[in-house]
Amino acid sequence: MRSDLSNIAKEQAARNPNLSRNQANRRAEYVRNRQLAYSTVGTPDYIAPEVFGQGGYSETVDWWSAGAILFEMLVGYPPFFSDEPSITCQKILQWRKTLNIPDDAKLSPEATDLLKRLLCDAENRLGAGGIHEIK
Amino acid sequence: MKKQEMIYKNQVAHVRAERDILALAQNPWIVELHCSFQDENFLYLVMEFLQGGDLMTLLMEKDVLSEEMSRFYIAETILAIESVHNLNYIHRDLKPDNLIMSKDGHIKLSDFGLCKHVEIKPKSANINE
Repeated sequence: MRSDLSNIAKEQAARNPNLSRNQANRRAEYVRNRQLAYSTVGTPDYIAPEVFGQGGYSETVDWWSAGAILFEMLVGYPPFFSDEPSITCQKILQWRKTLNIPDDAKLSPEATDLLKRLLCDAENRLGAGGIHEIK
Repeated sequence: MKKQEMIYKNQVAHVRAERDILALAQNPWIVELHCSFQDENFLYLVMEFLQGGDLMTLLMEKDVLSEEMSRFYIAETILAIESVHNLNYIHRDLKPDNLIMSKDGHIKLSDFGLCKHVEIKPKSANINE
């Protein structure tokens, strides 16, 4: 199951010419990581930052998760992924600095805008009601 | 599910939460619970069979989805989440593995083990319309 990272990247690139080299590398790293992680505990990749804090949170944490899932669909890996779950948690807490929508994913302005409005502060996050109208 | 193991792993509350919301929810966005029963040693949740696979598997095959496909899946996911919130639950564990496709390609939410019951006030409707 576990194969060499650069091989996976090559396979990915060959299979999907639309992926940029950088994207294929990140994706390969993620796929390998995911295979390793599957046997252990759940992933923190989709958890909203306020869940880690003491300040409480509301149903809007689910909208953050939707943003992280959308990012993964469009970019090929989740927004804060890392080899180490603890690093993923730190990245999520520092999302202002660590959130990066790669240029080579070539997203439309609408998709980028939607991601930024879901992966943001709970107060500014898009809430329920008509959210599907956005795209 | 083995009762002994559930108790041992401290999962009784999670299983109960899952069973409660599945029993409560009667909408097309949530995996259907046909019935639940128990015997001396086991607890049984009989759920709808969904043959479309989950979103994680789809992503494993495709690497990335087009904006058009992503828009469809995220729009359905958002409607599904809304239906959970309308039942006064937060899912709290949304991830591609928990988005399951029915045979006609529509999304259904599963795995409510971490969901939390809260009072969710209705938002002023249609802010984005």
